[in-house]
Amino acid sequence: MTTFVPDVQKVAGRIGAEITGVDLAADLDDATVAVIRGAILEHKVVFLRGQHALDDAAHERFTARLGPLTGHPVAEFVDGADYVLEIDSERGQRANLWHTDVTFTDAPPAFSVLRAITIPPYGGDTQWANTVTAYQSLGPVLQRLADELWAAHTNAFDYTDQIEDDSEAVQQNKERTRRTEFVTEHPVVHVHPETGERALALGAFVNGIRSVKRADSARLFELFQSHITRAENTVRWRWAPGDVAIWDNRATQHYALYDYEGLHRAVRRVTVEGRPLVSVAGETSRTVTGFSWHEARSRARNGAPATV
Amino acid sequence: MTSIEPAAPPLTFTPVTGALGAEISGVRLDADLDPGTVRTLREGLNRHRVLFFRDQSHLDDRGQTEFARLLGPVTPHPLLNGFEAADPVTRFDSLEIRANQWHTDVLFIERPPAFSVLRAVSVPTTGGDTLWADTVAAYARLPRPLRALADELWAVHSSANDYVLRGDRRSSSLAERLEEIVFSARHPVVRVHPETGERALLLGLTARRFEDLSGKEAALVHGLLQAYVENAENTVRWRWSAGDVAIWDNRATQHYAAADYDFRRVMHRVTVDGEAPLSVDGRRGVALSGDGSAFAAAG
Repeated sequence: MTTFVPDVQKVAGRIGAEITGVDLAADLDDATVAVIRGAILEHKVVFLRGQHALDDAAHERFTARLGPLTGHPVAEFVDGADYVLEIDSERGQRANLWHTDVTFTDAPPAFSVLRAITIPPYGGDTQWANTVTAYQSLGPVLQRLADELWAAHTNAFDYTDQIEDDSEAVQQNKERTRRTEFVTEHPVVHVHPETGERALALGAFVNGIRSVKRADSARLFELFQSHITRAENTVRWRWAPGDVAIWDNRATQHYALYDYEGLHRAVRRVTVEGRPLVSVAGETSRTVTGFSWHEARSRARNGAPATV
Repeated sequence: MTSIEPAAPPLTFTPVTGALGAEISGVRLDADLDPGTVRTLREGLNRHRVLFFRDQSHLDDRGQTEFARLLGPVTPHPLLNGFEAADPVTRFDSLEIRANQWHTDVLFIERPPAFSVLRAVSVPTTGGDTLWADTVAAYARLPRPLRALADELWAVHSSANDYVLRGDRRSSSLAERLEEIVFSARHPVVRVHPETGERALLLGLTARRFEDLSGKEAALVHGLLQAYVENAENTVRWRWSAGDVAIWDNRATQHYAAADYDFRRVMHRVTVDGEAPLSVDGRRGVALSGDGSAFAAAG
């Protein structure tokens, strides 16, 4: 058991902090994990440089300290690791649109832990946005409007459609991510289960605001999403191999820039199980198509694979 | 002892993103830079659009102005610097003014600055980053029909609502001046860069209306084109330390100063004279109201 005295320094005005003085590959004591968790909840995303000792197994081991690990409903995992997802530009995998991970299911991950494997000399930064301060920056009138709204999220028509690239790798990746279609309804504003803060829940998997006309839906989405992506609510991280970012997926969106054409970028991610979102009025997310968190759990208990 | 001066270290340009921006090391910015170094910096500006220099704490207002003169005649700001004073240094104090909108500097006069030289005098420990966007790359990314549309459009840029005044300044003489004196100019939405020949989008928050379009059409078309400028792949974000200097090509960029901090942030800027923007069909931007000529090129 190793005790560290982590130092936490903010990176941007409203989001992001860098943690130094911790080796995530070590056998951390509970106090150290508590400091890290507290920093994630406060700053929404934290960064740790130079975590070169972290291999796939240690990556999973550390992440499990934040909560039960979760699979990805449509992605494949790295050989020999049950929960390590690789995002590799050479396989056409990019995420250069603002999104929250896996919101097309009713229980998106609570935390994502991402480690940089191969990083171009420049380019390929990631940006995160604070969806809590985005909600707070709305005036009371728009907050009340948002509190009432629900949005449909799906992987059937998602951001990969907007990647203008017909290479085989990109096309294969698109097909894979659609193997099982999900449609889920989430409240546009949800109450964070740990902090109690209200956060906007939108991003690239949204294909419509419920109960309004299509044109209104596009305008309402833009109205709220533009608050999320304002520079004031964001932080931008320039990666080096060995860097680790940990974010609260319930209070952020992120965007991995694709400004490194012809260069290779690969990162690996392990995620912690989340729960269905809860609206201001206390209602929870609804699965319309695909399988719910409860169904996935009972499948897993019956020995079915974590992925489909 | 030897009287031979050590050779100047070579300049290194390190790109900060895949889009624009490079950090320069190996140079101390001052009035004594040799012409070869100045030429290298100008070439670097044409390629990277914005250059970042750390640790230039030796500069004061005068040093900053003298350095900027190496890039061309310096121009005092027509509104913020007062009338009589030919003071070329514009002081941006977060207690008075904020610039957290995407914009290109001083587009409401006929000859907007070619370059801006910005020096971090006092910055908060976190927050207050500046973002720049490449308006040449934004144009290049437009689908063909939108490029053709943009090529034809002309916009009216106005100083009204260009600045967000804060605190006491809201009721100050500056506020009155900004209300009383409105500068405006008519510029092509696509300008041909005078040095590189590249086409760049000329938009930002000062573009109040487009000729030949209704107000509603203008707002929608502005949003359509401006989104290409603000696209993340087209931007760089710089976290300041006191003593940092950024120089950008104001003819090929927009920028945005994030207002995500509570502490005081003071930045000093000197701008270098530019030309009236040239449209793709060979016409120039013109002043519509306000006499900008008296303020241009004080030398």
